[in-house]
Amino acid sequence: MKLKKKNVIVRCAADLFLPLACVFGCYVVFHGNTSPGGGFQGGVLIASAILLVYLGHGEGQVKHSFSQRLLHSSETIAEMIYVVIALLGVFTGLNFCFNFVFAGRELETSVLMNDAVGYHVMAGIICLLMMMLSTLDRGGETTEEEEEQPK
Amino acid sequence: MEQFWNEFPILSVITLFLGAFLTSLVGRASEKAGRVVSGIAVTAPLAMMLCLIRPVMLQGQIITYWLGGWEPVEGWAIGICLEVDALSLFFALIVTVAVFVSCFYAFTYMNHDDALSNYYTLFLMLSGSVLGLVLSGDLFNVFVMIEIMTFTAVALTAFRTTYEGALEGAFKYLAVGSLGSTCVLVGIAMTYSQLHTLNLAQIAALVPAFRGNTVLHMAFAFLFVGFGTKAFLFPFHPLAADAHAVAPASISLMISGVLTKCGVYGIIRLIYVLFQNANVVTVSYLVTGFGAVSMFVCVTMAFNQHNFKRLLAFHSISQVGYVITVAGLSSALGLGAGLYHAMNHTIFKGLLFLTAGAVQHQTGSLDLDRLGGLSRRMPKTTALFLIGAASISGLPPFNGFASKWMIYQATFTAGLIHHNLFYLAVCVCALITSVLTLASFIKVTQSVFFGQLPAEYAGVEEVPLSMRAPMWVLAALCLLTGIFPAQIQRFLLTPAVSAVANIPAYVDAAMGEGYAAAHGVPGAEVSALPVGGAWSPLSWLALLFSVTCAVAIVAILGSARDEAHEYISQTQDGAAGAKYDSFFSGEEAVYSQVGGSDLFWGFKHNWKRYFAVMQRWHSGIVNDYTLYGVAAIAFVLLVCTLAL
Amino acid sequence: MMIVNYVGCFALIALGVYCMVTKHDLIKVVIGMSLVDYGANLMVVTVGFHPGGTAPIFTISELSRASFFVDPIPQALTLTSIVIGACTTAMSLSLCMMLKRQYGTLDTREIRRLRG
Repeated sequence: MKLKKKNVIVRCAADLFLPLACVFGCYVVFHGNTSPGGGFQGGVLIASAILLVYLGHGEGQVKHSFSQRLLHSSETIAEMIYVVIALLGVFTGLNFCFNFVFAGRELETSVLMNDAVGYHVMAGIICLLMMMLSTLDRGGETTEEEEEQPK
Repeated sequence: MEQFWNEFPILSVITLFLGAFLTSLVGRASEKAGRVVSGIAVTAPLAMMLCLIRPVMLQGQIITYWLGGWEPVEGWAIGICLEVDALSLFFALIVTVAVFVSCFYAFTYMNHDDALSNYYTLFLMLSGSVLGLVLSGDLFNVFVMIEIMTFTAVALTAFRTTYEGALEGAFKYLAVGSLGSTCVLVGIAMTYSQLHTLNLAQIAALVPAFRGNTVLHMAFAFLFVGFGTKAFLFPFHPLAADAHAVAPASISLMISGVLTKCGVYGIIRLIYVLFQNANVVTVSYLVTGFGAVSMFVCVTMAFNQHNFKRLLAFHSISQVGYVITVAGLSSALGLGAGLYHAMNHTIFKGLLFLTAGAVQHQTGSLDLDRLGGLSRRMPKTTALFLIGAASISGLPPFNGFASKWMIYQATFTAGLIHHNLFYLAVCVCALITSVLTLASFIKVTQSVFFGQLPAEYAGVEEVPLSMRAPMWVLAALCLLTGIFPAQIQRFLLTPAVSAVANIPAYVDAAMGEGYAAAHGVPGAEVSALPVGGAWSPLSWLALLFSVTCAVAIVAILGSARDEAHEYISQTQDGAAGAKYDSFFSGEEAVYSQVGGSDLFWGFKHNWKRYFAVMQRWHSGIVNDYTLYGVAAIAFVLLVCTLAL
Repeated sequence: MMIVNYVGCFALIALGVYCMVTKHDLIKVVIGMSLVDYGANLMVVTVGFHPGGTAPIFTISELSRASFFVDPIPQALTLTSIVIGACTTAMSLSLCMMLKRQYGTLDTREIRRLRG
C-alpha cells in the first residue's frame, strides 16, 4: 500500500496534526495524576505522531527522523528513571515508592513516575511501530523483541 | 520492629528488574558487560533471601512491606504490599537458587546464539516476575506477575527461532497459557465482587464469614485452574512438553524448576490460606486427583518419547503431580512432603535439564535414537546425569528418596486415618509412578550415555568447566538435601508448614494485631514434622551390599564382552530386525545398540491400547489443547459449585 | 441493568473459547484469545461499577465521606489487563507471522510437529 507520490493534502494535513498530536499527548501525560489518562495513554498518543510522519512523508522520512537505537536506549533509561525514583524512597529511609519529595502537598512522586512511564511508552511504541513499518513492504522481517511490560 | 531486612523483599525483586533494564542498555555495546550485570543481578537476590532465613524461618517473623507507606486504613488494605512468611520465603529460596544456577550456566551454554542482551533481559525479567509473585501479598500483583512470567517465558521458549518447533511450542504455550491467565483474572474479579479487597491477608480474614457463597466457590475454581495451568497440571501438560523440548536448556530449568513452582505456590496459598478449604473433602479429592492423574499420565507418556528434553519434560510434570497430590491431603506431613519434593524437584530436574543441555551443546542433537555411548566422551556429564537420575527415581542417598518416602508415608497415613481407599490408591499410584520413572531413566541412560557410540559423535568433547560448575552445584545440593533430611525439616519445612497453618499470624502481620481474631480466622500450631524412615543405617547396609553385588555381577559378565566394536555404522534401519535378536540370541548382538525406545517394548506392547489413545490425545493441535483446558475449567467449576 | 453486562462478558468469553476450540486458523485463534480477554476485562469493570457513581478522580482535599464514586480499583486492574491483552495479541501475532514463514501455513492441523 505504497503511495507513488505523497498527495499534498495528505502531507499538509499530517504536518498540521503532528504538533497537535504531540501537544495533546504531552497534556495527557502531564495531567495523568489528576485526570483520566496518564503515562501509558499519553505515551501512545505521542507515539502516534510517527504514523502521521509515515502517512505524510513515507518510510524514508521516518527512518531519517527517528533513530531506533536512541529510542531503544531511551526506553530503557525511562524504565530506570522510574525505578530509581521509586528506590529513592528506600534510600531516604522510607518505603519503596514513598512520596518523599512533595510530602504533605497535593503533588506526589507519582507525577514524576507517571512522566517516566509516558517517556517509556512513547519510546517503546515508536520502536514497535518502526519495526512494523519496516516489515510492511518486504513481507515481514522482525527480530524477536521483548514485549512492553505494563506499568 | 523496623529492621534493615524489611527492605530485602522489594530490593531483591527490583534488583532483578533493574538488572534487566541495565542489561538491555549495556548488553548491546558489550556482551561481557551484560553478563557482569546479570551475574550481579541474580546473585544479590540470592544473598538477600539467604539473609532472610534467620528472621523468617527461625524466629518466625512475617515481613510486611507496604509500597509507598500506604498502610491499611480502618481495616481496609488499599495499598500494595509484599508479605513474606516462611512459605513465601521457601519458594523464594527455590526460585533464587534456580535463577542463579541457570544464569551462570547460560553464560557458556548460549555462546552459539546471538542477540544475547535480549536473552539476559528477558531472563532477568522472568526471574523478577517469579520472585515478585511468590513474595507478593496482593492478588492482583500475582496476576500481573503471572502475565509477565508467561510473556517472558514464551519469548524465551521461542528464543532460538530457527530451532525445529520452537515457534510452535511457544504459540501453544501462549494460547493456552493466556486462557489460564484469564481464569486467574476472572477468579480475582469474582473474589473482589464479594470481598472488595485484593490483599491476600484480608481475603484470608474475610473468607470464613462467607462460607457457602457460590460466587466465591466459582472464584476458587477459576483460580485453581489458573494456577494449575501455570503448574502444567494434567490437562495442560502437553504445553509443558512442547515448551521444554524446544526451549534452551537453561530456560527449561526455569520452566520446570521455577514456573511450575509458582503454580504450586499459588495452589497451596489458595487452598490453605486464602480459602482455607483444603480439609473439605471435595477440594482434597479434587487436588489430589488432579495431582495423581498428572503424575501417572505424564510418566507413561515419557515412555513414548524420542527427544531427550521432551522426555524430561513429561517427568517434570509427573513430579509436580506428586507435589500437588500431597498438597491436597490437608495434613502437615503431606504439605511438608510436598514442599520438600518441590524443592528437590527443582534441584534434580534442573540438573537433568542442564545435562541434557550439555549433550545438546556438544553433539547438537537431542534425539534418543541417534545418541549413544556418550559416557566415553563425556564421563563427567554422565556422572552428573546419573546423580540426577538417581535422585528423580528415588534412590537413596539422594534427595528424591527422602521426599518420596515422606510422600508415601503421607498418602498412606491419610488413607489409614480417614479409612479411605482413595488415598491408599493414590499411594499405590505414587509407588508405581516411581518405578516407572526409574524404568524410564534406565532407558535414557542406556540410549544416551551407554550402549555404543555412533561414529558421528566419536569426536565429541566434554563440556567446559564453566558449564559443569553449575551442574555440580545442583548435584551437591541433591546429595546434601538427601542426607540431611532432619536439618531440612527443621530449618525449612517445619517453619513453612507452620506458616501455612498459622493463618491468624499471616493476617495480623498485614492488617494489624487482632484483625484475625475479630473475624474469627481459624488457626493451628504445627509441631515438628515426623521424620520419615529416610535415615536408617541397617537398610543402608543392605542396600549397599545389594548394589555392590549387582555392580560386581555386571562387571564380571561385562568384561567377557568384546571391546573391539566400539563404533557402529549408522545403518540403524538395516538392523531393525536384529533388535529382538539381542534379547534372545543372534550373532549380531554385539553390533546392535538397544535403542532408547525399544528397551521396554514388552511393557509398551502390553499397554498398546492405552498408548494409542494417549498418542491420539496428544495431537499437537492447539485447538485440542484448548479444549482440554476448557473441559478442565468446566469440570472444576461443576465440582466446586455443586459439591462445596 | 448490570445483568446485561454479566451476560455480555460471559457471552464474550464463551464466543472466544468457541473460536479457540473450533477454528483451525491461527489468526482466528488469536481473535478468540482477544475475545476471552475482553470478556474478562468487561467483567472486572462491571464488578466495580456502582449505579449513579461519578468518576473516581479526586485530589486529596476534595475527597470526603459523602463523595459517591465507582470503585477505582477494578478500573486500574482493567487498564493493566487491557495493556497485557494488547501485549498478548501482539506477541501471538508476531509468532503467527514467523510460523507462517517457517511452516508455510497457518492451519493448526498442520502446525503439529511436536506431538505424542
